[in-house]
Amino acid sequence: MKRELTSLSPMRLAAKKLMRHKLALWSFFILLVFYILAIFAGFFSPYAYDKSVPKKAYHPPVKIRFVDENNKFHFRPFIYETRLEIKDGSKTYKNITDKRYPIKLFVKAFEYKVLGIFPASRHLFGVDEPAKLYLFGADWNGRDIISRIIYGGRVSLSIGLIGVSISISLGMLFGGIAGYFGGWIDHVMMRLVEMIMSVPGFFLMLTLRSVLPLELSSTEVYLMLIVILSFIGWAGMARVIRGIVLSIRESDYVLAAKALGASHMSIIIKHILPNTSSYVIVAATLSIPSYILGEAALSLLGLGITEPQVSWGNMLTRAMNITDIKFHPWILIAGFAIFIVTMCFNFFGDGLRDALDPKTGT
Amino acid sequence: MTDTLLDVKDLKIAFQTLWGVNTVVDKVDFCVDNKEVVAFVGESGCGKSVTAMSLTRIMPSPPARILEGSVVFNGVDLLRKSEKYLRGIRGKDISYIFQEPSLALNPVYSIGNQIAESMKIHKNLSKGEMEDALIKSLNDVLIPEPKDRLKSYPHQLSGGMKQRVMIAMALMCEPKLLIADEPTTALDVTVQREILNLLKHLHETKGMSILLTTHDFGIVQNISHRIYVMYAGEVVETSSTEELFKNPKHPYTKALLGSIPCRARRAEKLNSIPGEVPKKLDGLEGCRFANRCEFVQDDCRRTHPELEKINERTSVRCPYWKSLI
Repeated sequence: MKRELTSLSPMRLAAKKLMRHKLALWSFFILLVFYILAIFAGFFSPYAYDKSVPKKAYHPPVKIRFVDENNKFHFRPFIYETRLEIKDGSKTYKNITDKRYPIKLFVKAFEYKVLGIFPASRHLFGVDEPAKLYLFGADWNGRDIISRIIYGGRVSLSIGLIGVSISISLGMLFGGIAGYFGGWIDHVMMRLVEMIMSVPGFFLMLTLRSVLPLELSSTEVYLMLIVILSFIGWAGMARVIRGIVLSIRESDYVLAAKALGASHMSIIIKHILPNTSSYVIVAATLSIPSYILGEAALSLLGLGITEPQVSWGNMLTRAMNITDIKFHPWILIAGFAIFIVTMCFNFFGDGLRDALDPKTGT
Repeated sequence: MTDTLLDVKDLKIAFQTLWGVNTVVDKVDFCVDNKEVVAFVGESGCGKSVTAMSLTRIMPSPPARILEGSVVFNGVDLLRKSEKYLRGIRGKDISYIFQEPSLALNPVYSIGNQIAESMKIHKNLSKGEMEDALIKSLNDVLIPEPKDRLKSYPHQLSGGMKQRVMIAMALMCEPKLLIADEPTTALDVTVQREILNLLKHLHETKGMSILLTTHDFGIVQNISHRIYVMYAGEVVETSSTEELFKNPKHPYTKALLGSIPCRARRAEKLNSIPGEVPKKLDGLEGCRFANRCEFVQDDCRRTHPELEKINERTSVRCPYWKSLI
């Protein structure tokens, strides 16, 4: 066992430690599932995210049944078609028990493109029309919430990753240069960073949004959100990295690299920044949730992704109304998606920190 | 003097601090010939390392600043050259080995990756040639199983191995001058011997010049041709190794040699030099060693002695050296 350990590279060692961190591992798998769902959203969602069925507005989650009205057991799970009934001013959906609609796998339904390239129309599961398989219910337009969560994950989850990579690259470059050269360069750069950091994040976000035009295409809105969120995030990163670089630049291996004739830029990029990686990986993982929440907050206020495009934030717009939540609590499910992903990133980040910290036991 | 590889004249280096300028190397002259091994010996803080590092201007700056002097390497004054020119010299014509091999290797890269760096900077080699050169370099420094070791990370090697890797790194581009800054200080005694033998062997086979700095006379005896003894930022004595060990002239050299543990004087208490190197050199009057010197005269505290040339290769900075023999 001992012999084996000495021949492991630092990364493999960290991976081994991470494997033993059960919570982090599970979080990682949950995140993996979310990302796979988002990437193959068309296949996993039974309905198109923008397909509205007005007569099924606010349809509650359907019940998947094995036993029918006559207490007869069916091996294949099924659902009933429903009919809207208005009684004493309140709306309810009544089951029509004449016909069973079994849940089918790999059904043909609406057209979509796998990875945006290959057209396809197979879906993991579905039921025959006119019944609707609303596993998590429907929203005010009768759109399937689970399909919208899966599609919304594309925006919410990718904004976290892209945003964090942009702010990290910016932060590393900025912090690296400031820390390495020191002196007046450091002074100027850090004062700039402090200026950005001194404005509360949410207000900065709203200010930046108000600077940009309101009427934008959905792609432009998406890019704008990334720019806004990374602009807020990079400053803190730059400041911490500068601190780390300050200590690394005094190390002998930087001197050794200099003695080999390496240029300033190659010393910063090849020798100093890679040594900040364990901090950066952890900081990145732990800050992804703030990007997801930032997107959600802007979209919730109608300043980010707008209808009919979907993100977890704008799915919650109606959930700001207390009566809506009271009668249709399932519209909050998008919030749970945000909650779970945020928690998973936090647990995973904690696990990574322990795994990458050489001071914790092997 | 076509045989001179490195000729340093009047080198003066100071540390710029908040409290003013503090001279650390004061008008040091020295030269290194082709294929010669030269050693700088002196206590900690006497300016050896700063001198060695300032040759290609890699000393920490700030605070260190070269105030005056010239460093003529291969006929070119390096101090008058741009940073860009020096980058071409560093690692190619002048290489360094540092004191602490565990700190001088970057923990995130494999050994092979790090040794290859100077080649990537200075030479244009294909991948296959690079691989061959890497294996050859590890063979040269006598590392067993070089092919496997290239993939190792610094934390997987012992101190002696790491220092061998450092030497391999330094020799990759076949430099004309190898500067070894206390190459054995961080190693234990048996490994010190191995590394010194390796350096000697490499010097014989590759024929580069070596500039060695150390505080330990024991390690220079076998390897160096000439020795400069430094004290408080200046050279106090220089001569051939043989001559220096046989007839030390300056009281400081005598005292240093006297404090080497020796089999013949086992029962006695080990000699040491009382006091310490003066912290601040500026404004100091008289001989800098006067306060610690056994043979101090009244005159020593008033006038600063000049380096007196005795013959071509021997000089001493003590007016009373004749009376001390």
